[in-house]
Amino acid sequence: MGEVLLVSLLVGGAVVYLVLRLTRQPASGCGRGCGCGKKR
Amino acid sequence: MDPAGCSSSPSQGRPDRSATDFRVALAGNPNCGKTTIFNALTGLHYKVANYPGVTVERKSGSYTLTSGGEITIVDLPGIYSLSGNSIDEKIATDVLLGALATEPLPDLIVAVIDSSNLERNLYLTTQLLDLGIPTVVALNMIDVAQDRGFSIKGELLARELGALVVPLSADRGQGLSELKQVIEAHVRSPGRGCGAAFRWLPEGSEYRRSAQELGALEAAAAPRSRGVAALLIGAALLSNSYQPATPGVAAAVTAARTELDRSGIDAVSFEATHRYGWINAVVRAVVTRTAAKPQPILNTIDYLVTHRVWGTVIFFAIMTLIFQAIFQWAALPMDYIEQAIAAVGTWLQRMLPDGVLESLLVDGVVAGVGSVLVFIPQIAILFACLGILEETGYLCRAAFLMDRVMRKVGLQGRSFIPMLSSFACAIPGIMATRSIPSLSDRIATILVAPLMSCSARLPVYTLLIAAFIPDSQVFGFLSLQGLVLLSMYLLGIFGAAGVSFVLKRTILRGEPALFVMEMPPFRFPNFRVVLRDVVDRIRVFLGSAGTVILACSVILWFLASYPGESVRESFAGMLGGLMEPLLRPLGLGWEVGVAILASFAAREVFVTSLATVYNLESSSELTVPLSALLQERLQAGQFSLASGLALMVFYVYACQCMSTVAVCRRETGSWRWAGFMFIYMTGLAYVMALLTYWLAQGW
Repeated sequence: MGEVLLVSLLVGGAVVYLVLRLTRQPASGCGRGCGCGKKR
Repeated sequence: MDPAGCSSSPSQGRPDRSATDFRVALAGNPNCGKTTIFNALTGLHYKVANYPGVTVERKSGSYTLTSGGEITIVDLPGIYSLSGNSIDEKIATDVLLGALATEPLPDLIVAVIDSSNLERNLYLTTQLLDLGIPTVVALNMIDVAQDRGFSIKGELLARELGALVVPLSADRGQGLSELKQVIEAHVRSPGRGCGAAFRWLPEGSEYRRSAQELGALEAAAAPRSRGVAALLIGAALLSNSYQPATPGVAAAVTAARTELDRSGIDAVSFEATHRYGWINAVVRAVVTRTAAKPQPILNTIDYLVTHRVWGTVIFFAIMTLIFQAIFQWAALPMDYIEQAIAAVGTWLQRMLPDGVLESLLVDGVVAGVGSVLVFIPQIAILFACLGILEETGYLCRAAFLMDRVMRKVGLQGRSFIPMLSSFACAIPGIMATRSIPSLSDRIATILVAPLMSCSARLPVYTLLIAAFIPDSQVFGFLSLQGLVLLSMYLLGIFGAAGVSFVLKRTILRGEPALFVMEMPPFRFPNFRVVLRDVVDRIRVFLGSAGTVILACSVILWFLASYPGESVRESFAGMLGGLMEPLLRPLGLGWEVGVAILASFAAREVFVTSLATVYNLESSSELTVPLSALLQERLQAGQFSLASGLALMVFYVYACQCMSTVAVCRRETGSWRWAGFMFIYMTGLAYVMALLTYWLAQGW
């Protein structure tokens, strides 16, 4: 039961994260492989 | 003379301002080293390269004072004068003229000058001095000037400009501590040695008198708008339609122009003639020619790489070499990473009891995320090679060679930098189009830039090439796999040329504007910059693997595991089934449909999805490398060389990136263009994939 709950939380968390991440307006430093301005 | 009230800085009169509010703007011509200085001052590491137009937006960072506290440093896009009319140039002039409500006027301008090109750089510097904002002159690339046989008398130049001059070589880290001291001295006592405005104007001239009067009037009416009115008499700001701060000042500007007209003075030519006349005299006085360091090898290389025939041969030879290296040099480290990932999967399998958590971690996370980590060596090699070419200034020579072709397809020279940036990622590429003044040229470039193969496509190409293309040699020394990879990149370039050709003759008609690009000095690469670029890229790639790709792996594992007994009966199987009618003509199955749908989040997710789906389907309990799983299917007849090639071509043209669509919408200001881009790219990808499949099957 605990295992199923943990997996459900992980999957749910991944869905929420992905939705938030993909609906965010890309900033100038796009963070997707361009290397155009990340902080050290 | 002091028409704009130079004796007081914008900070003065605002006693509540702390050091934290102090803003230093770095301004100068393109490719003079502003961002290198900015990075050195702020500890950030924004992209620098040996060609103009890398910075297209205002960037700010903090500089920590030795006395404690922080000030803000603002890096501006390069400009040749205050009258530029492209978006990036306007961003810079808006900040310098205080035209933005959200951005205070800078308290100090650091006018960065390329010492090896003093005369042209001083044009902007004198305009900056005319603004009446305290200005320090950073005489950058002093080493390059010396190598070319110029010796600059810094003290004399400082006297002529009435501003502090700091010689430095930001690239080598020389002179930066002196620049920091000067900035800190300005923070302590703002307004000192701020630079002399309008020195270029002849004593006793009508123009000078008008400038003085306008400066005084403006300073009284609107302290934020400094020196703008005086500059408006000439042509400097006309193209940007800058308005004087108050109607009274505007009327005075018009009156001054009318008065000058009556006196037979053409304000536009008067300004250009006298400004350059004064600059010429200053340059003659401060520059001494010494013997230039002979650079016969660099000169010969420069001649060869820009030669119409030899240059083209060298260009293709270099590109072939890079793509060969990607396969050959990366093979060993890729094997090690693959083994390490398999070992992690096996270890997890041993440690965890059989169940859903074990399946999620082994088939979802390890197989999914691990499948993209394998490509780190290839990404590192590609960007190390491109970084070296960029640092030497070679890529600008390549642009020079390509200019003729680009004009034929309706793109202008300025489109080269956005296209080049798109090889890393389409997002900075699309943003780099801000330097294109013509709207139709800019939109055409935005629409075709994503056709350049970005770094996210590399894992897709190399995975499919490793699985489907035999590891054989052509002409006895060229790897066939490397050649196929090169051809994928070339397909993207030719596709962009074809699309641009059509767009510029249909919905985006217009002659491409003439463009003169400044050729950067040809030099030995700075390997520190190259290494930092590579490390940055790997870090960003790892960041993506640990976030978006990880999340996608977890979700895909769930979709491919529930409901039903087999993957085919799962949610993922159902989604893939919906795509199947479209994929069958390409010889592809439903698993690829799942991967294509999932990869809209990020192209690398294509690899992750296949790894997860195939590992769940696999009878093996261990994490099997994806290339091996694909080869199994090739042997079983579920895949063919033709369908593999079709899939690669699909990824060359498909718009599988949400972020690119979002940036296109932001930069064009309309969903119409973003939607158009998505539809035409997807349609083109499908048609080209179909064509490839038919051709490859018939061959």
